[in-house]
Amino acid sequence: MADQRLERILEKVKPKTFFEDLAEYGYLMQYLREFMWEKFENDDEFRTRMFKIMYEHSKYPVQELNYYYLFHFNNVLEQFFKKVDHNA
Amino acid sequence: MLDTGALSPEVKKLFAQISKQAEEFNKVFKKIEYASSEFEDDRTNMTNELNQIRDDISKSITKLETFANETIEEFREKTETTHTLFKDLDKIDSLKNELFDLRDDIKTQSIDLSNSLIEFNSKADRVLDGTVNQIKTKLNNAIDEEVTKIEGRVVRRLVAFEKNQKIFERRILGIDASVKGEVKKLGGEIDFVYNNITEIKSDLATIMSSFMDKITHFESEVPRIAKLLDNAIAKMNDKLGKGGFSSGSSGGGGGGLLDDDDLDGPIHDGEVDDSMFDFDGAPYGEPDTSSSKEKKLTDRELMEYIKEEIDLIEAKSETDSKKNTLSMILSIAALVGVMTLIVIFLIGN
Repeated sequence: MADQRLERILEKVKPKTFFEDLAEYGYLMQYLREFMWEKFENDDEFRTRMFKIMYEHSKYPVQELNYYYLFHFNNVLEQFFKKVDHNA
Repeated sequence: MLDTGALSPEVKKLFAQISKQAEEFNKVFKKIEYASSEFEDDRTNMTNELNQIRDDISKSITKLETFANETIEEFREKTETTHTLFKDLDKIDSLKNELFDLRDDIKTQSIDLSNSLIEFNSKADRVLDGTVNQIKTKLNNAIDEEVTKIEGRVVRRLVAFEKNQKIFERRILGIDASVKGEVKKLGGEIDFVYNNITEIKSDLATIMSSFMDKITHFESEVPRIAKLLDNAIAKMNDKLGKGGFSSGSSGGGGGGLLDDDDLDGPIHDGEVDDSMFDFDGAPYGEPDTSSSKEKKLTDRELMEYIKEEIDLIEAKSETDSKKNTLSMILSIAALVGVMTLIVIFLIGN
């Protein structure tokens, strides 16, 4: 209950986090590589949240984010071509 | 373009290009979908039409089959009829040939018959002319004989009629003379009666004048008698006042006075005889007419007799003429019958 309430308050207030500051200055990926790489590698939710923060707040290009989107895009294209081939 | 700075510009460009391509692909896909839906609709329509055409074709095939069967049957029937017609035509041809042969035969026979008829007609004409001439001569002879007989009869009748006419003329002249005498006598009698009537008229005038004189005399005497009656009534009243007097009217006259009966009584002076006006009995010495009446009766009888005689003669002449005409008609009819018998006999031969 308390967590949900806290989440709701956070959604309303939207306080600027440490990750967002790091992402704004282009150091989040470096920070994650040095301090939270294991979590980032194994926790999918955390990884997507971090990529979302980078996407929204980073002013500098991030190589991992490019790879991440290109990888997803590749998957999507593969599925699309498969479907097109299947329909054709 | 993407608003983020986290992605490299090449990736951004790539994504932008991909998004454009995706939009174009979406448009194309929509078009393809629309085209495919149209194609599907067309395909369904085509399939429906194809099915319908298939059904129609199957129906038309069945119809064609039936029509073909019917036409084949009809053709078969027509061929049979044509076969029969050809057979009939052959028969008709043979009959026509026979008829032509028969016509030629009939022509030859008709020519022979017309020749024989002409010959027969000429012979019959000749024979008929001869017989007609004979019959004419016989008829003329018979008519002349009959005419001479009838003329003789008529002459005899005319002579008898003239004789009778003369007798009747003589009788009529006698009757005329007697009628004239009777008329003269009747004129004398009428003059005599006229004279008597004038005498009677003068006598009547004298009687009427005397009668009128008497009436004037009575008219002058009536006031005097009235006075006498008044006096007598006064006297009677006086006597009645004195007493004892019976009624004079019951006794039939009292004291020589005039009664009412005396006044109503008939006048005897200058009395008129009624027989003077009776003209039926001929009272003035008319001549006896019994002999003339007998004469009149005989004349009437004679006239009637003459009329009857004339009627009888006329009836006789009429019956004789009728008989003569009847005998003539009968003789002509007999002659015509004989002629017809002769003609029939000749035609029969």
